[in-house]
Amino acid sequence: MRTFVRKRLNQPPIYRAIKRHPFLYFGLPLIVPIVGGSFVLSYLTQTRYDLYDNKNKKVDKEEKLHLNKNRRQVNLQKEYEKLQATNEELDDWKVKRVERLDGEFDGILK
Amino acid sequence: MLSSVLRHTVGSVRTIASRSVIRQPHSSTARAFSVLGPRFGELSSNFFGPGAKPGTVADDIDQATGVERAELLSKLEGKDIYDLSPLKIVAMGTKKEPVMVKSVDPVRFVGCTGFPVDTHDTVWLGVDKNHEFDRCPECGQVFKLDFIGSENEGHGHH
Amino acid sequence: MISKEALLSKMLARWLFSTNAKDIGTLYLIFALFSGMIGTAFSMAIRLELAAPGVQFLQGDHQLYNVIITAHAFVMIFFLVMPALIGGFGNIFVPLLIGAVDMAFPRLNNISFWLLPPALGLLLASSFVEQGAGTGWTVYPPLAGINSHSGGSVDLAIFSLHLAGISSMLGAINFITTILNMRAPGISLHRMPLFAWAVLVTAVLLLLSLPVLAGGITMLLTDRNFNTSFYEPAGGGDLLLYQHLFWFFGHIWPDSFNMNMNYAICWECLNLAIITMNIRGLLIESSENIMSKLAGLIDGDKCLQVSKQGYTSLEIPLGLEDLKAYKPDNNHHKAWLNFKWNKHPEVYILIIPGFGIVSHVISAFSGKPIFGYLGMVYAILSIGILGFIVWSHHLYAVGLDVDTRAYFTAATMIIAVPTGIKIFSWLATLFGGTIRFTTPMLFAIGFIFLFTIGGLSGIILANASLDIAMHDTYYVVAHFHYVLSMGAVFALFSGWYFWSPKILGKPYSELLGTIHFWTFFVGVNLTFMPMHSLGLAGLPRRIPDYPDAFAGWNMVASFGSVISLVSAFLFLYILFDQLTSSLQAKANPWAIPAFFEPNTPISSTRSAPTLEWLVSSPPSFHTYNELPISS
Repeated sequence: MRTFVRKRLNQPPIYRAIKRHPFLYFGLPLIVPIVGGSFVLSYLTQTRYDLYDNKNKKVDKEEKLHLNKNRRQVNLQKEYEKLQATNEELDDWKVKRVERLDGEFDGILK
Repeated sequence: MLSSVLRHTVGSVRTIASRSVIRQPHSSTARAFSVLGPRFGELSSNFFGPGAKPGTVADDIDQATGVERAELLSKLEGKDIYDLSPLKIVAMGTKKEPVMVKSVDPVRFVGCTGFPVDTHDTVWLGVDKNHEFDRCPECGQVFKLDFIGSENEGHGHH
Repeated sequence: MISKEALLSKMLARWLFSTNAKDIGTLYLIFALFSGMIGTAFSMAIRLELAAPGVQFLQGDHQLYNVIITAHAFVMIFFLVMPALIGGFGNIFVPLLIGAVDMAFPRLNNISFWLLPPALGLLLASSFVEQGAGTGWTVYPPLAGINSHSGGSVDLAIFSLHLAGISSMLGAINFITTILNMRAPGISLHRMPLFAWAVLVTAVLLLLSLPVLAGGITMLLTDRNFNTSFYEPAGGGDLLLYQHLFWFFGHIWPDSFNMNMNYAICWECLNLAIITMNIRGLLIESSENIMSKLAGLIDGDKCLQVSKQGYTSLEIPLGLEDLKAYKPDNNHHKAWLNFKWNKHPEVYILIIPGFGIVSHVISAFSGKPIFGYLGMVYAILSIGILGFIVWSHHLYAVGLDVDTRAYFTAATMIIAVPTGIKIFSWLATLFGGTIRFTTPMLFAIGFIFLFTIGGLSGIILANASLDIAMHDTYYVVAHFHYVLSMGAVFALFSGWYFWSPKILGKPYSELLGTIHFWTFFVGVNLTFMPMHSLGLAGLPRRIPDYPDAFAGWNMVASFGSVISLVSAFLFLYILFDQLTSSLQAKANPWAIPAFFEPNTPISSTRSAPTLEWLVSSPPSFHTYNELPISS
């Protein structure tokens, strides 16, 4: 009927299947590998970290400090706690009346 | 009974689509709580159903009025007053035997996907009552409007 | 002669009480234009301050600067891009494209628009009371907590987010219902135009992610005002919970914890965060390792600048015997907690409608149907799904060890696959087409080009290892502005020029449009391209000052933003010109005569690839007296 027929005569049957069930034959096969691939590929990206871990062993700052005999060990957690007021400090207080000016009513009722 | 409801309401379905405002005097049969009456103008006596019997729980058909009632009643008869099925094309539309498209409006937009369907991407055509025929520029399929509305409807509003 | 009162009541009835999708869409577009101008004003303030090192315009008020960048982000994301792309074009064109008379819930549609102006009002109010919300658009506690932002500003900003969120959720419900139920006979999901698909996927993303954001900020609100401790470690809460909840909407995985010494942070927060993260197993490095790095920092500089929440400098000597007093110094190292940012649903919410628009434009001006329609549809879908797979894994992950980090790197990179499908499909559509370089086409091609650049820098950032170096630098800013400012906004302009003759019934000036494109193109590239270099050189984000070494590129960027401003004014003139034009746009202004065209007008058939071009320009108040039908 049409002058220029674009459709091949011996069209692969999958084309017709896609036409009929686009989600089943096209959508799922596209989405599943993409989403599943994100899981599968994580094994590949994993190797990079594994390799790195095998090659490198870090001597970190703290270990360096261990090597240096003269240095004091710094533990931030402890330094932080040092800064905190202790309970004793918090409890160490006395009631003191505010000083009044000369001749000012001191608020004490007789 | 059913036919009179259908006649009024189906007509109303089609006019309500084309008229945003229809000024009609209040029909005496319209109940106060319903806005459908004034909107549809004339009311048949079957616009409202008898309602549920006292002591029973009303179901859809008891509650429905107007268009919805007509729709439900016709569904009871196994018919559907709204035709929401795609355009059926059993043969390639030609000038001699065009694909007929029913419409209550003088123009209906028809999406052609070729014959058999889905041979090309949808091309939308404005199939017009006044045209001898309308042809899809992609596949050459011919459509013709089967005008079932009334001539005076849909004019002079907005 | 109509009286003034009658006219006013007519206006009110049509616009305030509007239930018509096209009118509401128009309101959305007007609103977006308004907020776009506010957002542009904020961006100019930012760029002017950053035009040269040292204090420029903001009188050294760093809090004010933070307020401005926060407001800029909020306005641009929630009040420009989302309302315009989804609310504006979505409302006007989704019903038209699927052959529906209106949206499924017209009154819901009305309220979802009218929630937006109060939301914008609340946001602006938040910058006028007390000190403003200088929290960044992510509103992280503890910076957004009651201790750091004590006034009502953050509360107002949270209310603003609530309203905007409700508005978007109601809109999303409406779009999903409309698209699933109100397609004209014969328009199956697989025949639906791509823009409708894009809006559908976006609506689902919005509907799934926004409630979580709303929950997160509500908990922040109660933390601030009602003494709850969702995010307060002292009360058994978890600082990171907020970030989990926020980035569910947008997405973060705190798998990198980096001391790149650019920022200053409150030491308490730092310490608490380290402890919390360690308990939750969220650190890549051991906490001892991080502590030692910090110790190294202290060791090297003899002092640590500890700042109260990063915006006011409050130096506390550490009490170590070998520390000298802190000396203020421009290049002084600062410590900062770095979290890794990554791809998240909100980004796709912003960009997917743009994908839809660009597909329409490319197809229309190549004279071909879009290449690989099915591929396009399922690419959009898998982008959406992948965003949520990544998120859910994130949510259930007890801790992010190397395994999960590897996974997220893989997942984020694989998002490039469906995006690549889309980009190559657009290129394939262009290939061999009869291309017409109209203004919308220029913007669409600009979109493809610049979005690809943004995508590439995104892949670089997706790499956990590289991101550690680049996180929180201007490289990230460059990346997301390439995706948003040149992705979403280019798509927005493309859609506007493509559809405005349809919306307004008046053509725009093609010459001015082309000039607008080129000025905007030059402007934004000049602004954001240098930010790549600045970021690689280590310029941190969200700081209103920088060392002299960064002065050159910053000046270029500020110059570029002035060019963008000029182009924005030009756009306003084009709009004025268009609105006052006496010309009438045809139903399909982009139609090219068919090769064989009957010369008897009485019998000539109008045809179009999508439905909106068959209705008149502007479309009548009530379109489709008879439902369209497809075979």
